[in-house]
Amino acid sequence: MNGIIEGQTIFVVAAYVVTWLTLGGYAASLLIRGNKRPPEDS
Amino acid sequence: MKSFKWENAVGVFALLLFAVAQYMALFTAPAERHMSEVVRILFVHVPAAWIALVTFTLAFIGATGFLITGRRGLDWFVEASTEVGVVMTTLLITLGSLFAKPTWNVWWVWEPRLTSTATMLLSFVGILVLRSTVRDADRRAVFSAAATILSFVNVPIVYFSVRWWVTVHQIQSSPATVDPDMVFVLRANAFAFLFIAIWMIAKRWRIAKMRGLAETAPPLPPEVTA
Repeated sequence: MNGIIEGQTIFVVAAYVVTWLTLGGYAASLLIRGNKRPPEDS
Repeated sequence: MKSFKWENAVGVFALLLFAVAQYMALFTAPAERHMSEVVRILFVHVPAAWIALVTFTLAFIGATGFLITGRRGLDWFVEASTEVGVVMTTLLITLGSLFAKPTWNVWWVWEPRLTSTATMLLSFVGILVLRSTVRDADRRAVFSAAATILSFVNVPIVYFSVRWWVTVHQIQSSPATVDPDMVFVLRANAFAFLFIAIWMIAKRWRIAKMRGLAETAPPLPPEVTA
């Protein structure tokens, strides 16, 4: 134990993948919902 | 011809800035002496935290404005900024967990900063649930404005929790104590997240407006619907 964190790059990869998927997924949902007509009450 | 929407220009700019900022965060920012490569998680975790607090503050301003003026556009703004804030806070907590495991050796701990952030997320999710369950537009707007103002009380608690109590979570850093190369990359990512959030709120506002106008529109005459 030397107090230095080593060999944990999997967490970095996971963090960036999660960021891209979250922001990309939500952005896509906004574009899809923005192009939909609102449901009409019957 | 489709009309020009200002947020599309913001969106393109945000995407370009985000791409450059993410490249810098992953490849050009220096590793940290003790945390090594894991420090790169902070270039997304910290901007997500800042922007989450900003979006909930915007929701609070919108809610207060709605209760004062009764303008429907402000109610749609509350809906938009609350939803974007919930997305940012969910991302913030997930990234925090991914940073906590290699640095604290736990995914989660019930300490003041994490607990107040989780409470903040749950309270704003509650506002979205409230909005989806109240059918009357006027009552929904008033209820959610009141709930937003109440939930906002937690926002300064989240920010100051690391100063008010003894916590595992570190206190806010300042540019004076951080490598200038890291400060620049952090700021680039923070601005990228900010412009992304502006684009998201604008898009979500238009969706809320479209639904709001459809909700209050008079029914079509029978000869049209037949």
